[in-house]
Formats: sequence, C-alpha cells, structure tokens
Amino acid sequence: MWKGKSCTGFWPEFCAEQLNYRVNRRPFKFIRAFGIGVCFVGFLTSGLAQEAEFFEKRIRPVLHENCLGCHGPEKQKGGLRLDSRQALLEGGDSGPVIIPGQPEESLLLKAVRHTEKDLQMPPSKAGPKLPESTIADFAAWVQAGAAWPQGDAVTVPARKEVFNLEARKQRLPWIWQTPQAQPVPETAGATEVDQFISAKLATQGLAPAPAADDLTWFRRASFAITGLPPQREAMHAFLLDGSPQRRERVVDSMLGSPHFGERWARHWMDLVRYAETRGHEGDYLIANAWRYRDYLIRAINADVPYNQFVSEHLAGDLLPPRLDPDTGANESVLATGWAFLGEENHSPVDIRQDECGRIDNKVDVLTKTFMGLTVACARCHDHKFDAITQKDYYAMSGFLLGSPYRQVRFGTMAVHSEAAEKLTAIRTEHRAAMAAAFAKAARPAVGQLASQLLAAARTLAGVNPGVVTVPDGFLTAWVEQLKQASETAQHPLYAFAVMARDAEAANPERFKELLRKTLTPAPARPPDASIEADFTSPGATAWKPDGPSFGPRALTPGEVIPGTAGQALLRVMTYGAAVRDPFWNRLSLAPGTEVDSGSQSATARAGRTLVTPRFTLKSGRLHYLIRGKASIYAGVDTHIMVTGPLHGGLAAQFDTQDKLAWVTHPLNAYTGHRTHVEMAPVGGSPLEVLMVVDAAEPPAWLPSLTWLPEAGVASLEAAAESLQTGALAVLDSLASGTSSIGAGLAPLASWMLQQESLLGVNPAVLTESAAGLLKAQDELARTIRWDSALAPALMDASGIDENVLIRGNPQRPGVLASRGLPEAFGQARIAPAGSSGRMELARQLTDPDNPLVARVMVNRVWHHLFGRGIVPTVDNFGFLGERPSHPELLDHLAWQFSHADHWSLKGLIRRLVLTDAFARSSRASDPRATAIDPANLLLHHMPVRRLEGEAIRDALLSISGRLDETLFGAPIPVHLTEFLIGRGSPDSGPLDGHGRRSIYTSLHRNFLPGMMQAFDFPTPFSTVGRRNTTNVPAQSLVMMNDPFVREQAALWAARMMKALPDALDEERIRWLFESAFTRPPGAGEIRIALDSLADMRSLYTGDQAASIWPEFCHALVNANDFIYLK
Amino acid sequence: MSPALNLPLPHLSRRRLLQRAGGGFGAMAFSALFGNSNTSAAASNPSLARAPHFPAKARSVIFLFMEGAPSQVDSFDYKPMLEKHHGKDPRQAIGRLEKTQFENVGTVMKSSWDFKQRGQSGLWISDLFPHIAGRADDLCVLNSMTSQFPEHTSANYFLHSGLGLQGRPSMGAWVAYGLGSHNDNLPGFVVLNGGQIPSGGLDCFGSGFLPASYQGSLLNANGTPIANIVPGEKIPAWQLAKRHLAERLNRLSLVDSGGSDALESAIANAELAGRMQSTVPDLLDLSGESEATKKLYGMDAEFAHTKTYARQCLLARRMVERGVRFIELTIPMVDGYSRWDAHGGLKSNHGNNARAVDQPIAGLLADLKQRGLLDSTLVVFGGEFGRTPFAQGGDGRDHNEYAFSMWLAGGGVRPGMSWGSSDEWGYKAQENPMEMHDLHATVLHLLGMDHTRLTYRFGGRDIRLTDVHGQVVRGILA
Repeated sequence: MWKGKSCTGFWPEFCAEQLNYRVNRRPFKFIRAFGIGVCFVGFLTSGLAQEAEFFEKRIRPVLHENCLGCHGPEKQKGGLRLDSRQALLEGGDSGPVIIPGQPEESLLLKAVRHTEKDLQMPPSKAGPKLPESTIADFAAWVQAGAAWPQGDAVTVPARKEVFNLEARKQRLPWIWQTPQAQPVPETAGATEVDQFISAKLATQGLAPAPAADDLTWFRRASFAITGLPPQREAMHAFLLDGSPQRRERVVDSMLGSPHFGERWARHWMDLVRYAETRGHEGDYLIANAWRYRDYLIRAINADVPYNQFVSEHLAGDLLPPRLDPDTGANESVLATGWAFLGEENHSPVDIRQDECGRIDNKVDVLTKTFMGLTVACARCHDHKFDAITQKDYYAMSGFLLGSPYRQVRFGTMAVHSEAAEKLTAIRTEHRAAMAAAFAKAARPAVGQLASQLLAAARTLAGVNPGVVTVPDGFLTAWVEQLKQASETAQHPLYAFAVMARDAEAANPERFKELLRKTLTPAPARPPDASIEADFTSPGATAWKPDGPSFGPRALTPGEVIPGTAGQALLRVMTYGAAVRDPFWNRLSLAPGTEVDSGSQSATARAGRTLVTPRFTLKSGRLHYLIRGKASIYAGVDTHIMVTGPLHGGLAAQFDTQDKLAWVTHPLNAYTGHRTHVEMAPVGGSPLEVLMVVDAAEPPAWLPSLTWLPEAGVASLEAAAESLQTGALAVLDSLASGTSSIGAGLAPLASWMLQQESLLGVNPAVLTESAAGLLKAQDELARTIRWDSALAPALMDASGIDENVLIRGNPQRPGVLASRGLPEAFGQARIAPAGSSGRMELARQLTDPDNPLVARVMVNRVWHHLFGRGIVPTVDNFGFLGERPSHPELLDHLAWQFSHADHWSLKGLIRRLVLTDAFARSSRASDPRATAIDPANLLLHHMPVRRLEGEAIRDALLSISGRLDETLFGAPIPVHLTEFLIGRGSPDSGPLDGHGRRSIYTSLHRNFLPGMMQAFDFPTPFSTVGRRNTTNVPAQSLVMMNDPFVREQAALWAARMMKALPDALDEERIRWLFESAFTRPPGAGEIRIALDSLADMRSLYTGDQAASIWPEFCHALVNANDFIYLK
Repeated sequence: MSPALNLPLPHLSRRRLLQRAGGGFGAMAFSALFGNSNTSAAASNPSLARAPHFPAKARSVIFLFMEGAPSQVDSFDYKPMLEKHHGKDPRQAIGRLEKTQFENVGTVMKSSWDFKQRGQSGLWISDLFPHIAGRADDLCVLNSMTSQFPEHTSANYFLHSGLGLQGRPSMGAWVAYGLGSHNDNLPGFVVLNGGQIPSGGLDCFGSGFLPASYQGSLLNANGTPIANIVPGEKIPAWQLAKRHLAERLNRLSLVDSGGSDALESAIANAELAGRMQSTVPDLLDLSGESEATKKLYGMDAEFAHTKTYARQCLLARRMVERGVRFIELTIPMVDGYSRWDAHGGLKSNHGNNARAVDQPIAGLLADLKQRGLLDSTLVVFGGEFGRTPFAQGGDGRDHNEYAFSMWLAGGGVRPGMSWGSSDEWGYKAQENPMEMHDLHATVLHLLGMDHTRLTYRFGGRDIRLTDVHGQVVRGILA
C-alpha cells in the first residue's frame, strides 16, 4: 500500500478494495489457458514473428506472474487491468500506463523501476523489485510500440459505477431541501413543539408522562442552561413566586446569567476538538488558544446570531469586524482560531503528507460541525453513501490551504487600522509644507550646483579649479562627497563622480569612454517567472500584511515620505519597496501573552509581518532583496511547528546592515512544495523588502540608484549642468506639493534630501516645518494602545485550488477542484485568485436557503436539552447517520430559528425549555409506552441522564461555596497526579483549580484532567457532538476517593455548619438535601440519613465524631441523585 | 454493519441485557447496541465477558512495548553483511538511502553484540538479550515488520491504534471492547507503567471514540497503583458506612424513577468500585510469591530498573491469572526520555535497556510456561519501528520504518520460528513484509476475533482497528 495513506473511515467491504495489494497472488489458471502459446496470430502493430515471440516470452509471463493477481480479470486495483493492450492504453485511476514508443513517459516503467516513492510495483508486500533485465525488456517492448497479439480479447476494466449526484441526493432527499415552516398538527399541546410531539405519540395511541414537579424541572433547567445546580435561595424564591410566568422568568434569568455562555461554550468546544496544546511528542503549547474559548463564552452570552457566529468562524478575519463594545477588540477574528486547535507534529519526515493530514482534520471538523456531513470520508474516493464526491473534499481543502496561521493582535487591530488612516492623513496634510520649506531653503545653493560640482571635480582630479566661488569648507565637503560617490556604485552621483575623478575627463574621447563604462547596462531584472513577490511596483503583488507595521501599501519610486522624529524627516523613495514604518515600532505584547513554541515564534511576528501569497517552490532556493534585519519564515506546506531536527531551516534571520542586498534562503529539500513567506523586522531594526525570487542563483539585479546624465551630454561641464537642471526640477516638484517626484529624478531627490548642509539648508528650517507633523504624530501615538493580547487566527494569503489527489495520495495529483461547497448544495464555485474565498463560503453557508446549517444547529441544541437529537447522530445527517424521529418538527424549528428567531440561540433554547416535553417526568407512566417505544424515541418521558464531568465538578464547587465565578482568562493549570504523566509535562496546578469552573482548567492534549477522562470527556481530535455516557468503576472511585471531592465535601459541611450552627440534625439534613439535590428530603430519606448519622457516630470516636458532617456530606455526593438528572 | 442495528432498540432491562450478552451471542451486536446508544442501555456493565467470533487460542495479551525502537540488527535480525561492510559509505554499499529523521548518515555499522544460533530452533539472537535467547524455542520472531511513520509519536499511535494520529482507540481498548473482561473486579485493559509514558502520551492507551471504560487503566508499578483506589477513610468500616448511606438513598431514588436502567447500573457500578479497592491491593501483594519465582523474574537484581521491570512482569502474570484481557508494559526510565532511541551511544543505551528487561521477560515466559498459561497468553515484544543499519553520526542509529523485528510467544503462535525477512542489510523488509495492520489482525485472530468484524460506528462510519487493511498472518499460527 502507499505509505502514510489511510482511509480515516472504512467499511471493510467497500474500502478494502483500494489498498490491499494481495501478497503473492498467483494468476488464475484460465488466464494461462488463453495465455502463453495460444495466440501467436496477427499482431496489431507489426505482425512480426520476432515481436510476437518477444511479447510471449518476455512480457506476458511477467505480467501473469507479477501483475494480474491485482490487475486482472478478478481484481482491478486502482481501476486497472493489465491483460490487454487496450486496457494498458486506457489505464486506471492514474491514467494510461503506457505510451507506445515512450517508455520514459510511461507509468508502467516508472512503476517497475521504482522511480517514484509512491508508485512502486510490484508493491513491497507482493514481492521484490523485478530484475533489471526484465525491466529492460519492458522498456524495449514499449519503445517498439507495445505489440500485443490481435487475437487476444480486449479487456477494458469494467468502469466503476459512475457517481450519480442526483441519485445520491435522492437517497436522502430531505437533507438537501431547505427546511420550511410546517403546518402545526392540530393536537393538544402547550406549545407548537408539544403539538408536534403529541401528534406523533397519538399515532401510537400513547399518552405522555405527567409533568415533573416544579423543583425537578427547576434543577433540570438550571443544569441545561447554566451547567450549575440552583442555589437554595433561588430555589425558595422560585417556589414563592406565585405568578404564572415564573418559569419564563427563571429561564430568562438563567439565559441572562454569564454561566449560560460557559455551559454552551463547552458544548461547542467538543465540536472543534478544543485543546491548548498540540499533542504529539512535546505537547507544545498552542499559544493563547484560550482566547478562542473566551470568545465563545462572550459570543454565546451576547447571543450573537448563529449565522454571524458561523460567518465569524469561517471568515472572521475578512468580515467587517464585530468589536467588543467595552474594549474595542476585534471579536470576529477570534473565531477563526478554531482551525489551529488540532494536533501538530514537530518533525514529520513527509511534510506534505503531514499537511494533508492536518487539512483533512480541518475539513472534517468544518463539515461535521456546521453541515453535519462527513466530507472527509471522500478524501480517497467518492463518498460511499452520500452525495459527496472526492472532488468536493478537495474543493473544501482549498479554503484552508490558502489560509495560513498567525497570532493576531485582536485587541488592537481595529484601533490600529483606524490610527493608520489618521496617520496617513496627518502626513498628507504636512508633507507639502515640509517639501516646500526644503525647496525654498535649498534653492540658492542648488542654483550654484553645477559650478560647485565642477570646482569639486577639478580639485579631486588635481586640475586647477580656476575661479572658485565655493567657500573653502564647502569645497572640501563636496570633494569628499564626490570621492565617496566614485567608490560607491549605488551612490546617486556615482556616474558624475567617476568622470569627475578622471584627470583626462576634459578630453571628449576619454569622457565618452568613461560615460560608456559607467553606463554599462545594469543587470537584467529577474525573469517574471521566478519572481514570487514584488513590492517594487505598486500592485505587482497583493498587499496582505499582518498588522500596520508596513503601512497601507508598498511605497513607490519617487514617493515623498514625511518621516518620524529620529529618522530623516523627509525622504524620497529611490525604489519601490515594502518599508517598515518606525511609527509602529512601539507595538508590544500585553502581559500574560503566551508565546508560541518553536524557533520561529509567531508571537514575535504578530502585527509586524509582510506576507507573500502562497506559491510552489521551483528551484528550492529563495532569494530576498531586502535592506535591514529580517526574521523570515517560509510556510512550506503550512508547517508551523518549527522545532524539530528536520525543518528548522524554514525559519532564518538575515541582516544586510544598511545595504540593499540579496540574501538566500536554501529550501532545497522542499522543491515542488507549496509555501508562502513571512517577513518581519528583528527588534527595532529598519526593514525594506523589495522582492522574493525563486532561482538557483541570487539575481544580480538591483534597482538603479544612481543619477545618469541625459543622452548627448558630452562633457563634464554639460553633465554638471544636467545635474543642476535635474536638481532644480526636484525642487520645483517639491515646491509644487506633489506626492511623488518622477522615478527618473528619484535617486537625485533622495540624495538631495540627505544633503542639508551641502545644499546650505539650515536644519532648523526643516525641523520647524516638521514641528506640526511631529506634534500631530505624537498626539496620535498617545491615543493608541500599543500592547495587545494575541490569539491564533486564520490569515488570508491567497486563493488555492487543490488538485484532487488520486486515492488521497499527495504524490498523485489529478484534476483541479475549484473551491466551493459540495456540489450537492448547488451553489456557485468560489474561486477568487487573490483570496482564500472563505468570505464567499461563509455567505453561501449562512444563506437561509442552505438546507443543513440551521437544521444541524437546532438538532444539536435539541440533543443537549433532551439527551438525544431529533437526528440522533448529531454530527452526521448522511446515509450512515440515523433518521430523524420528528422530521417535521426539526424542519419547523430550523425555519423558525433562521427566520422568526433571527438565528437567536437563546430564543431557541427558551422555546424548547418552556415546552411541556421538557417539563415531563422521567418516569414513564404508561406501561404501553415502554412496550411500544422502549427507546423513548417519541419522547413520552424525559430520560434520566448523568451529568457531564464538568457539571459534576462545578456542582461540587457550587454547593461547597468554593466556586469562584470569575469569567474568562488564562487557563488554571491542571492538577497533576501520579497518573497524569509523560513528556511535555506542564507544571501542576491547584487541586481545586482555584475554585474556577471546569471550562477554565487547562486542556493539554497529553494531560487531560483525570476526573474528566473518567467521565467520558472526549479526546480532542475531531468533532464530537454527542459524548459517550458510560458507567464505570473509575467514576465511583473518583466520587469515593478523589481528594478533590473529599475536600469539597468538607467545605460544604463547614458551609452548612456556619449557616446552621445550632440546628438539629434533621434541619441540617434538609439544608444539605436542598443544596445538593434541589429538593427537601422525603420522610424515608430523613430516616435513612438519621440512621446513618447514628451509625457513623457510633463508629467514630472522640474528635472524629465531631467531624462527622464532612463524612456525611461526602456520602451524600456519592448518592446518584447528585450526578444524575431526573 | 447491519442496518438493523439502527432500528429502535428493543427495551431490555439491564438484567435481561446481561443475560443475553453473557449467553455468548454475537458479542459485536451487544457492543454495537451499547456503543450506539446514549440512552440508559449504555449504562450496562461494559466489563462483562463476551464471546469471541470463533474459538480463541489466547485469552490474554501481554504487550511488552519497547518504546523508542530497539535496533533489529543488534538483536533479532542477524546481518553478516554489516560486519563485512563495516565502516563503508552506505550509499556505496547499500545504494540509494531513504530520508531519515536526522539526515546525519554515517557509515555502515556492525553490531556490537555477537549473534549466535539458539536452542533447538537455531534462531539467531544476539548477546544483547542473553536471557531471552535462552527462551528462543518459545519465540516466533517477526523479521519483516514495517511501519508507515518514522517519527515516534505518529508511529506510537499507529502501532497502538492503527492510525498515525491521536484519537483512535488503542488495541487494548479494542480487545476490551470486543471481549470484555474475565474479571468483574478489574479493568479489561491495564497499562503497567514502568515509568516511561510513550511519546504521544496517555492517548497511546486511550479509548478514542469507544466508551471511556475501555481506556487503559494506568497501574503504576510503584506508588499508588490505580487512580483513586486507596480509600480516604482510615478504617474500612467508615467507608462502608458512607457507601451504605449512599446505597440506601440510591435504592429509594431507583424506585422513584420507576426502575431506571441508568440508576440501577450505577448502583452495581458503585459496588464494583468498592470491591476493586480490595482486589487491586490483593493483586499487588506479592507476599504469596515464592522466593524462587521472584528470583526467576530478577526481583533480586542489582540494577534497579531490572527490579522495576521484574515486578511489572510478575504483576502481568498475576493479572493474566485474574482474567485481565490486555496488559501493556511500558519500560522503566533507563536512559531518561531516550528510551531505546539510540541516536548516539547505541552501545550503552541498548545495553542498559536490555539489562532492565531481559531477565524479567525471560522469567515471565518461563513462569507462564511452567504454570500452563503460555498457551493461552500471547506475549508480544517490540517497538514502534526499527533502526538504520548504518550509523547516525558515529555511534548511533537513526529511525528506520522499512524493516524491524518484533516477536510473539504463546497464545497460539508457532514457537521456535522466524517469519519474514529483511534484505541482506536489515534495511528493508523483503520476504513476507508485515504491516502493523497485519499484526493487529493476527493478534485479534488469536483472541478469536475477526478483525473485519470488530467495528464501532463513529461519526457515521464503522471503524476498525485495522482500518481498511490487515491480513492475518496464517504462517505463524500454531
């Protein structure tokens, strides 16, 4: 089988066919019968007896012996037969296996030569590689035209059943139809929901169980909505409230409680396999993953409409941001963090295969969570049951492949983008005045420029300067300037200085020669094909930086830039580039921000990164034209755990000092792999980025930085005049207030702005002209919050359409699958070249006509409230899922949810909790009901349910009074025991998790809290919408012996003793029952409790007898009524 | 999976359910029923013994997991070519090399240990394992094992669960799910921890999407054996009083519920937990073992790690006697977190690791045999992949997933044979290459289960330990 390849789901009878090469299967006898020696008659191609003999002696026996077992009449692995010429020409899933006359191009030869790692035939299981002589025979045979006897039967493999989308949809037509409002059955019922349920019960002649008592309902609603038991005070208030609206009132109050968000966020976290580390060997941290958890709690408490919530998950980085009203933080971008909560391997040998696994997991989570579809089943082949093709799988993959990882400055990004606009406005406002001031101040000197240059030139060349009009000090400075210029090819005056320095320059012939030399054609620009990113001309490469540091766009040649204090106050760009704006150098991280593991921490790049689109590495060597100090990361195959021995080279640092230079990033191991490049400055250093080139050797090209005399200039004097004319033109331009000097004058202008003293500009003039700018910038800076928290998030790098990978094998790309929802949805393809397309995906998904999104969510809510979904397989609405028990009700609710209730989760929950169905007793009263509908599919009663581990732990904290109701924040480290061990172990946390709710306990993949594991906490690897509910001794052992449980029982006892210091036993028992079980004890229970107290008191002696209540309390939480809901 | 299982479940009281399950009907039907249901039926006792698909050779498995990947060419796969070409450039001698984890390829490296033919069978085993070599005639050495992953974590998951990613049930969990337990008072899948939790963490022993009851219960060889097994009460009567109170309240509650299956099962479960508090200490109490037995395992060894592993092996036998289905042993922290992962210093790394496990394993085989338990106990020895026949740097070996050795003993496997072979270098599997899926299929087969029929429906698919792969290796069946 192919290495690393695995069908992540399987039906033995369906999938086994593809990958199991059977070992050493011998060809069947009847093949032999018509094989060797039978068909020496006419040959298709030549009819030559020699060819016939060659085929029959050297080729056919080998095919029989080694190939036909898997590619013959019995089996057609890979859809391929090898028992007729026609079959070879048509080939299988990977295309034709021979091209007659071209053995080198023929797959058959590649396979038997083992030239490709993933196409080696016979497969290693079936036997050794064929002998070289046999392989040579095959090559010769194909070369000669692949002759085959004409008399042989044509055996084309029976084409696999053609995938018929419509037929597949018809298997389960309802899931592809938009849910509509349904006629409400005219049966009795307190609510519409109850009418639907009664109608179904009526069809079986069943009566529902009577209503549960008030307190049973109250406890049930409290756990369902908040995950916590009611407080005794709330219970009494509820009982005392005589109004008919009291249930509505408490439901509204529970939905308004911040604990509602905590409860339902945890449900959602099961869907997105939430964890805070990446598992595998080191269990490295996913920095700031908990920000996503807090986002969920806030969004659910704010009742963000579900369509918005879904859109934020898919495209929260691209939507107009939804801001936190209190902090101004970007909420929507936080939702995209779900994509990075999965596993990451630090050192995969096959990095592309590893990427396929990660993408598979994301597609799996995305499609199950939002659509209730198992699209990941179609990674290797069309779905076996549902209307989902393999192409659909890869069409979904594209959205994620173009969306790399980042740590986003969600706290300040909105504020910063506003500030960035203001900054641009401020600079625009002041630029003209500054430029004019400079122009005015420089004009007198520039008017003398030619003569000054000539005087300096003559002095430098040792020629009599003649009448010198330049003051002594200036002359020396000019001479020095020319001397330097003549030695620096990139100096704007280089050409002039070279000529000036030459003693013979006065000789016209010599001048011409010098000019020719300095005008030596500049090295050619790198060919477009090798340029992967180009920031030297506007728009050449899409501008998608992370954060404001590189400004709103790349700068263009000739652009006039007002600067920042401490830098040049006015600058002209000589070349186009992405330039770090020092205004943003103050960006910092908020205290407590977690740092990514790995040699290239994404946290250090946040907000300061220039990102290229994704592209495929050709030469395997990237060259960056930069100036400054850069930390560069190549996101090959979106591999982000850069810590292992194999892929450390993806991250590198370069320092070109103050020069513009090419630096080389060797990525030879990744030729043919997809990557993008992220570039960030190191520390406070400047950074300019011009180009990213993929080529074997670094390009020689550099942008022209030097001023060149106009054509026809024939003497040094004329050259000096030409320079002066140019310089005056620069001043005119500056004085006119233009935003850009022409590109031709840009080197000269750039140089002039750096020569204040040579040009006789009083520095005070410029400083004064810049005062307004600096003041405005300072004021702006003061209003900005510079430190920000970070969170994992998606980034929009580029539009990638993935190839269908034949049999899921990345080495065998097939046709392109343009991005889009599975075709069965009937939506348009989404293929913007410059964007991931997630925005359009979000739009299509949240269209009220989408048949699944509302249904799936309504069903999830129903599952949590009633213990079983209307479709019990909440993550799979497909053929292998189960059918809905109340399809009309589900549709009706879905329609209400997306229309009448405007996607309000609270509205939906309120609607369901206030039904009679939810209020029913859990005791089935009608004996016929348990006979006719033993599984309670028709909901004649409410099932008894065990609480989840989180609810049990939270309930213990709640009754003991230890519960710290603080919302949000960094996870409380998990308490490590002797049984929570392994590599990458975190520091142990407090036994009681500081009294915080369970949702705040850290979730390290390899160190999941022991109590949660005992109570069926789902392993965070994929979507789990329905937890297991088991009943195992480990759970009883937790309740009996876990020190945390004992500690809480003792606190609970102390709380009771404080409330009732002098009470009778019976009164205390009543208090405890109300606290733990939300009801007073029955008479029998009081008797039992008193008996037990007496027993315990007789067993315990002395001091121990005084501490009987903690023991009694511990026994009470071991009663089933504490952890089971009736 | 038969679609019939998706139909409404017939209502069964827990008692009736258990009667039916215990009656030896298709265990899988029971499992599916149990696994698919979120209703009260799921609360039934999952540890109950269930009948296999067909008569089984093995009742229990002891998996001696050699984490970090021991070198095949230094232990069970004798390659004279390495001596002949020692010090040569492997690209010259062997030919094209596959990429390795560290890509720091040294020269062809011969073994530091002498190989000899052992016992009647004449199996080649090196002096790295002198005691195990003495049991050669009990072993069935697999010399053509392959993996798909050359990284520890992925390979550990693959070896344990048939997939290189986190989240699938471990084979012990599958066995416990398929067969239940022979002992109501002990879990079906126990991990006897010597100290070295594999990379990939506890999820190597997880139950994945199977119910939590099937996850490997970690039993520490030293310290508290099982989580929360030690009563907090100083005097047993105190705990009994509490349990008595809880149980009386539970009975009332059960009546009030109209006889809820969930609540009824929970009562039984609490009773079982109560009993386990005494059965586990009893299991761990070695005072009844003779000095000769303890010595056989090496409990008197000088090397502390040998003693640790000896205790683990002895406990494994005691669990077999008590009906635990699947017992996995992790190795002691012999070489820190390096386990068998000898990227450098192969000689001391392998020497010390072997010293820790060699005598205890040989003792275990001998003891099982003398007690007549070896025939019904399958012992599996091996790591997640093998090592390169050429050096990494000067004196280490890098990861090699293309060929390595494991061995089986007892439990219906033919003794004193080797199966499959690697090429002349021990580099790649050649004859009868075996995949993890084949190993899994064979282990399940020996336990009486058809690997294609041991399924669990999760996320809309019927999932198997062997994915869509796996062939029972019939050539090694006794």
